[in-house]
Amino acid sequence: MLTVGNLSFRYPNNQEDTLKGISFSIQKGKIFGFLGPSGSGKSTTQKIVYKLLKGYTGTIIFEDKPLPDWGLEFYEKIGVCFELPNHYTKLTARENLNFFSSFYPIKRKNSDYWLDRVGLIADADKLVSSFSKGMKVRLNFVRAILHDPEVLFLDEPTTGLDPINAGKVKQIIKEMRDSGKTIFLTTHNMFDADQLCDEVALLCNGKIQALDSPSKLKLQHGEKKVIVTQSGDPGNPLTFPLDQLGEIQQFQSILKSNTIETIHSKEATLEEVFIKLTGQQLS
Amino acid sequence: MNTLVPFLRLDSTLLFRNKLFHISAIITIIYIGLFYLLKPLGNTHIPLIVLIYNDPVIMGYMFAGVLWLFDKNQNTIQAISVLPISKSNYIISKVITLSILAVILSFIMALSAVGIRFNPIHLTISVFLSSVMFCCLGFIIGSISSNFLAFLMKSLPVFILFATPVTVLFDGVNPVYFILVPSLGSILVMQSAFVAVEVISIQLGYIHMCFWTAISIFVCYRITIPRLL
Repeated sequence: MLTVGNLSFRYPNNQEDTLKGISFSIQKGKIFGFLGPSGSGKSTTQKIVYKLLKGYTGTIIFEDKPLPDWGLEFYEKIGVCFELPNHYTKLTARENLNFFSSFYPIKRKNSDYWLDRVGLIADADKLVSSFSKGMKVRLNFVRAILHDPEVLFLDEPTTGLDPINAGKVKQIIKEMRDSGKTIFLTTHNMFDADQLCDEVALLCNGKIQALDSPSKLKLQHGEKKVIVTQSGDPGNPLTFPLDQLGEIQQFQSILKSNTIETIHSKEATLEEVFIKLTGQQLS
Repeated sequence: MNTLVPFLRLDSTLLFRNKLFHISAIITIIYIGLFYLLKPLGNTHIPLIVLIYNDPVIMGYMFAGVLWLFDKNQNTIQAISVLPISKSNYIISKVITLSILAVILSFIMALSAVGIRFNPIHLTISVFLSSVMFCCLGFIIGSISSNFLAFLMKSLPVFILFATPVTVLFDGVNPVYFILVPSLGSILVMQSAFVAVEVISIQLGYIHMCFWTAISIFVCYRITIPRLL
């Protein structure tokens, strides 16, 4: 669906490249995540791919056609959910959606359906200026998907949302993937990436440090551990490596002592993998 | 054209909701009151032309810059940049909306000041094209300004420069002195809508006004449109 090869980009007046020869490919019907801290080049990559930034080097192929060869019809195929809300605050939510959707030939579901799905139907006729940040973020999301795009670009789509509304948005993203849509997600939220993405690229300082499915990355780069808390000392859990468990005397004696309060295995998080590979925190 | 209609509808709504329409209406009412006060003194042509030039024509400059900055602050320019439309429609619709408003308000002012004793063709063309020129200028200055204060600071020299040809309305001032000032043509054609002037003056006015309007559209496309992407 989308193939990026050796992409480099430098902002005017910058001494260093923001993107340093990154390559990746997104398959149709998959959620591809770009995971990295602020300033790592995630949003820059997206802006290049949806043709807002020019002056890059490398190749970008969208649906077997080089990106520069695409005209305005490219924007009928994509939906973009920017990180910052972008609505006319003097218009209502419904007026905003009607305006933006009026430029697309395809409207499979009306705005009320999506407003209802993200919990905004009761506020459809209120001015956006009266909306909270979370409401604006949800409206942003609806604006991006209203024309039923083939590829959806999401930049931090759950930032500013409470867990319930973040869950609603993530549910829709999964449904879109299941219906064959391709989703390019950038985030520094490892929890979202882990939950949603079929494949993630860990981006740091303009380079992709690792690219695989979240589960494989965690297995490959994480440490498998068993954590035990004892009834006499619940504040100090003990950690044992999973692969040597049968040979550890201390673990065996704890088992025999009948003092175990909790015992569970723990796999690495994407954040831990990221820190291990890049030496940097995600947020 | 199909994609221009939603923009025209949007811009009309935004002019109303941002109270820019109300501001124009209030200022026009004040001017109408002023004309009634000036009527007993005789010749109201010069103040009428000056006020039409000042508002609604120059008002187009301010509104264009303000609408651009509103959109920039609301990040809506970013959202428009990924729509499957020609980005120039964003500018064209605002210019058309503001210029139509300018023509309507100028007619109200003219009718209240001199009745039907004016040339509606000269007035319509001069106000419309001048408004187009000033709207483009507003977009140019707005798009290179980071905020409203910066926009106002940059506007001051523009206003001073563009106001200088108003002096040709007074006897004895040769228009040729202001030949390089883009607003000269607007003033000359606007003047011909209310008073009898030499044909050469009208011709010069039209050529000058059309030339500078075309230049302003061209510069607006080169400077402002790339900032939409």
